[in-house]
Amino acid sequence: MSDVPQRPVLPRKQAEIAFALLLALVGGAVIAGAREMDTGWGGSGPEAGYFPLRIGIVLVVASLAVLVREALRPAGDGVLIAGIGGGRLALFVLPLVALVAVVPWLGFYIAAFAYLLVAVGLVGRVRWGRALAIALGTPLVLFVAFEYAFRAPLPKGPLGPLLGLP
Amino acid sequence: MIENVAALAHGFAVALTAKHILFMVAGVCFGLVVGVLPGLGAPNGVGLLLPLTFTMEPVSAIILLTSMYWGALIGGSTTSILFNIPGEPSSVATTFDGYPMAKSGEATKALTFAFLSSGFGALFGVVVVTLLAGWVTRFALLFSPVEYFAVFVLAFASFIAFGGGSPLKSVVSIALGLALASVGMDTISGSMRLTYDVPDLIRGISFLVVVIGLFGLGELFETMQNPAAAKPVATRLDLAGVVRAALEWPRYGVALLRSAVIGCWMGIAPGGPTAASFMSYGIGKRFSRNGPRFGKGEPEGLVCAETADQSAGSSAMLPMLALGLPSSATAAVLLGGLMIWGITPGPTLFSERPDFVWGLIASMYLSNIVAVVLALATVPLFARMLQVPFTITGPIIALVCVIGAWTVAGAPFDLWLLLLFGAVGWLMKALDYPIAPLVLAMVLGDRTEDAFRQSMLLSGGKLSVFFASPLPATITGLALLCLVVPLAGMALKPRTARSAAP
Repeated sequence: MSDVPQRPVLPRKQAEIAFALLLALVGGAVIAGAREMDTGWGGSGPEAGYFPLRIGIVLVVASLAVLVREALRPAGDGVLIAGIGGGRLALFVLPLVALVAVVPWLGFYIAAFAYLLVAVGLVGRVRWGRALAIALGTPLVLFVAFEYAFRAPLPKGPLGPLLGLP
Repeated sequence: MIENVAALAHGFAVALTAKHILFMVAGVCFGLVVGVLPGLGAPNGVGLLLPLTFTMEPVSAIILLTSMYWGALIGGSTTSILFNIPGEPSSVATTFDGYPMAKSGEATKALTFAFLSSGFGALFGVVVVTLLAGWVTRFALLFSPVEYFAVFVLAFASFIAFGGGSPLKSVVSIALGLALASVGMDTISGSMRLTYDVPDLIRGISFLVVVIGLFGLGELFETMQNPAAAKPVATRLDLAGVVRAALEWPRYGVALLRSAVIGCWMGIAPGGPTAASFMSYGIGKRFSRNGPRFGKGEPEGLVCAETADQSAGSSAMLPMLALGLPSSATAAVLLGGLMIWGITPGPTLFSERPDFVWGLIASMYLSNIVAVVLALATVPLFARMLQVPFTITGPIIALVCVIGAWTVAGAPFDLWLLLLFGAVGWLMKALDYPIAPLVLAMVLGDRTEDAFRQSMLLSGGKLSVFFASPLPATITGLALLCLVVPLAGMALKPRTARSAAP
């Protein structure tokens, strides 16, 4: 992708095998879930578990086939996560996870302000004045859009009673 | 045919109201933004806007959302040409000749050609939809659950055969989608399935949350690793150049017609705009006089890709409405929307809800013209928008995705699902698992299973019913052919198949 050699953190071959294994496990979970129901034929044709069981089997077989094929393939120089990119990705994902964790308590507006301040200002290293303007402006636009234009109010958390909003 | 024209006139009466024209303009504008920005593709954009239309009249909602789709399909080509960044997967083929043209100082010509070709492809697609609607619905009236199940299997099978990429990974993607669709209450017996005693799973897994995660966050995660500094080759259009290019454009009439036909074929038979644009480009390269110059800034290559892209997008509405069969990821999201609005797709839809069907078809004529005009007018705006660093737009888009997932059901659990599917989408993209079949399988899952169970009820449990009469036998046979050929090909030469892939 780029000319600069990057320290490989996760080679593609291992990533392929790990992901295929994960998918096979999901397939196993589907089979286990389907087995809790009737997987055969009843008075009205196939029972509730009939379809999921077979889908689970297809998922397990197909992902194991991918796994075997990838395992037999000679290791190439493909890389899933490279050193620098991986760091950037982690710095992007962590604030997002925090956002999702606090939204039920703080509502969208406070959470969005804090998230944007961190993600744009701290992680993105955008100048603080600009980052603050984005962090304040975006929730304001969202408020007008969702409260008035779409009429689908977002949860406001403690901000609602504080500002006397419904 | 005559009855179609009368019905279309009625449709124009529905579409030509001030409110609906406003919706078309708004939808196209949203679509252009979505098509231009990374992380916001057409399926994700439609998915984000869909929950806000739950309370709208269905015909208004579908006009808004489809207009957004046309805007996104056209908007994707702006970034392809000016930045060499495809805003949409279906615009990848547009970069091959569009960017070299722009680099050699022909940006105005390239953009004008792209927009006009898109418009032509779209209108061609709508005319085909208008003319074939009566015939397709009459054909679809012959369908019983047996034929429906066969058609659904054919749709999945054709993604495996023609989707590009590894057939095995397509199978995985489809199976995962079908498994996700069966979570929650079983529509026939009412029992809970695959909920693993998690109360939040009783509602089932919303395909909208999955779409926003896979297409939205997944793409952001990918872009975040390599945020390319975007520098446009040009930022403005000169009006005289637009007029000159528009006068030159009809010279590519043969390529336009050929590409529009290819696009319609790929739009009606499952394949979708991305496959259509690549196929049209490939065929043009092979058979056109200008073929050898394709990839070096040949206008005809651009015309081939763009026309087929847009005509596939618009003609995909026909199987979606008449059979409930989407041929692209965005059409699958729209189809999910139809069901949420309480509209059952199928041949009877044309007779029961003519306002809805023909209002939509009439709006397609208008909104595609709106899209071409707005796309030309907003080029400078979007060229500047793309210069905003990704460190600013990335978090804002991520926030919009989180809000979009919230508006589906207002459940905190959905936000965690969103993150999960963001990671899954990123991995699938990085490891070349096709995502569109997963979405298709999720939307069609329940109906596929219902059709199967009803067929079994009709036949008394005999699988031979799928071969018992000529129509289902033909469809099932085609589906099996689509399944057997690629898998057999893979078994015969396991190594070479993969080394050709990027």
